[in-house]
Amino acid sequence: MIPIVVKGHERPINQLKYNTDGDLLFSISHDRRVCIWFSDTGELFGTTDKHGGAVNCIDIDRKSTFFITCSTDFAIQFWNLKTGELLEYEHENKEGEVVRGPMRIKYSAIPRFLQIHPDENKLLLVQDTKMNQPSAIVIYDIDMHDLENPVLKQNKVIYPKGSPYVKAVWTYDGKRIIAAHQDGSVSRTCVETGECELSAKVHNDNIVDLQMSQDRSYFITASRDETAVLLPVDGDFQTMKKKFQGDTGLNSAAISPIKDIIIAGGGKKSIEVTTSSGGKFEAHFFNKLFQADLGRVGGHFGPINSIAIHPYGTSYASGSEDGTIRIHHFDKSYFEFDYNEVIKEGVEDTE
Amino acid sequence: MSEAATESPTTTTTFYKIRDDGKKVKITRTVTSEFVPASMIEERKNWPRYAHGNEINVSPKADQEINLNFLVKHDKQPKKATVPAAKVKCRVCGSNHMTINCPIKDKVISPENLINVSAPAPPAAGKYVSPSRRAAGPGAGGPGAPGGSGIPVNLEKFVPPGVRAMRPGMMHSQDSENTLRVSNIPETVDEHRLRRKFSTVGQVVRCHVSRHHDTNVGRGFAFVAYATRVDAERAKERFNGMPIDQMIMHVDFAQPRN
Repeated sequence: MIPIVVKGHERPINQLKYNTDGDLLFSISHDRRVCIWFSDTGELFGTTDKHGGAVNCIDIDRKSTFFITCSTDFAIQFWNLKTGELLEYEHENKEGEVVRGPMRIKYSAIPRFLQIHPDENKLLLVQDTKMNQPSAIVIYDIDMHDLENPVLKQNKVIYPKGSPYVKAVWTYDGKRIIAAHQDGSVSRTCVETGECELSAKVHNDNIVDLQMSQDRSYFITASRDETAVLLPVDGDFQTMKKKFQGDTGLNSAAISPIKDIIIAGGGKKSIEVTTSSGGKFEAHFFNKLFQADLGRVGGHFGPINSIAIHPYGTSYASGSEDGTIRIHHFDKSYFEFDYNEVIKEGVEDTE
Repeated sequence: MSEAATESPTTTTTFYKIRDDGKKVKITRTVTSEFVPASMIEERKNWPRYAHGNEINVSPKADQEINLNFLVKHDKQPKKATVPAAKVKCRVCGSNHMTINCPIKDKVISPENLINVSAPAPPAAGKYVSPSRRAAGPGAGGPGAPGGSGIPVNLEKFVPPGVRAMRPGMMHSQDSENTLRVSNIPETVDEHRLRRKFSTVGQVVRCHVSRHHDTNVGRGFAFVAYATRVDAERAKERFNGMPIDQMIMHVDFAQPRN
């Protein structure tokens, strides 16, 4: 497989995300820029940099008409994908007059993470603890069916019981939220009541990434304690736990929608690289069921910050601390690979 | 019962239901379906490109090809039996200490002395004959012959095992005449597959695919050793010039290493 290397960012990549059709790849970075690429060729579709700080998170709607970003400049911005301009909406200004202006929601805390509800009528936002603000999940009601007159309204605020939130994702029914905490625990919260149903500690270090499977029935967490953990949404977070052992701290992990494969990426922290040898900036491939280490793909010159798998499972992209994105289209041998056959062969061989 | 209007973006469905209190209710549902073109991907490709803010010049580059060979380690491989530490045995007196530490070594410094001290005289010229050559040696009686509780003493110069002449029945080394060198094979071929293929002709004693040290990717050749020369010759006839995947194997006897 020949990786496609694109370098559109000057600072570390924060997140990569494919749209639902998988033809566009969105990348956001510390350098305030959002880049949109054609995922098959690596060609640039568009760039925008109207944020005043590092872009923290991005999400795209299912029909790929708009996307939402949140940034360290305390703002959430709503963009039209076709033009790359901010959407406009009617709102009250400080004097109490109703004016029409760009859809930039100023916020008292740093918004760290956001995700659109599977039904696309709500928006989830995780706010950071910096600037003496409490950690919280904020839920908005959104209506973007008419891009000329979008509607946004705050609905609910949920505060964590213990350690602050890092990331939070919607479950398959859209009535609960799975959240990852800084101390390595995972919790499940009911949106209706705002109460934490269940919390369990699955990692020894802070969780960096939390990604759902395509049907949102199970999720994977990646932690700095060198492990990634796969858990079902329903259940007690103890049984049916799969642990994948990497050899450095992990920054991101993703689930392949078509094959029993987990791709996890990470590397040593940039601070530690000069004081120790070998960064191990590689993407690990694991078998999802047997937790076996299958292999790794290198090529980056810095820790991998984000991994995204194409919604059809035909390629994956990894973005790194050095600002480069590598898009890997799997070749024939990947699709032919069957771990079950390998096990059978191994048994025959030892006999 | 229901009636639906078709071929319209707005579909109206009407049906009747009897409520719990026995009253019949008419329920009308209006569903507006929205048309989404199937080739939205194609449409997006024709959208005008934009660059707001600082323009950047980026062109995608192809990097070095990566071979995604999944390396699978079998956990079920039998563990190697731990070799017990070799027992120290004195060559002079046979006790559990090094020869150099033997308390009676001064007394048995020469073969003649040794014989006088500890063993009955061996046959012929009194020269020690090693056990392996004893059958061919003159006379049937050795130091271990009845009558003598002899201690075998080998005062010959030590020869490392690798340099010793090969005795019949010994395991064949890599330079054995029964080893085939199989070249021009794909990188992906592994030992299991090669062994399975070559076992059809005779018993394969050893099968080794040469790999790069770092990448573990095959270097395109392998060694296959058979138990007998006949099998090896047969395999060479059978497999030389045969295809394996997209390549044509070249099979020949392995050349000795030096």
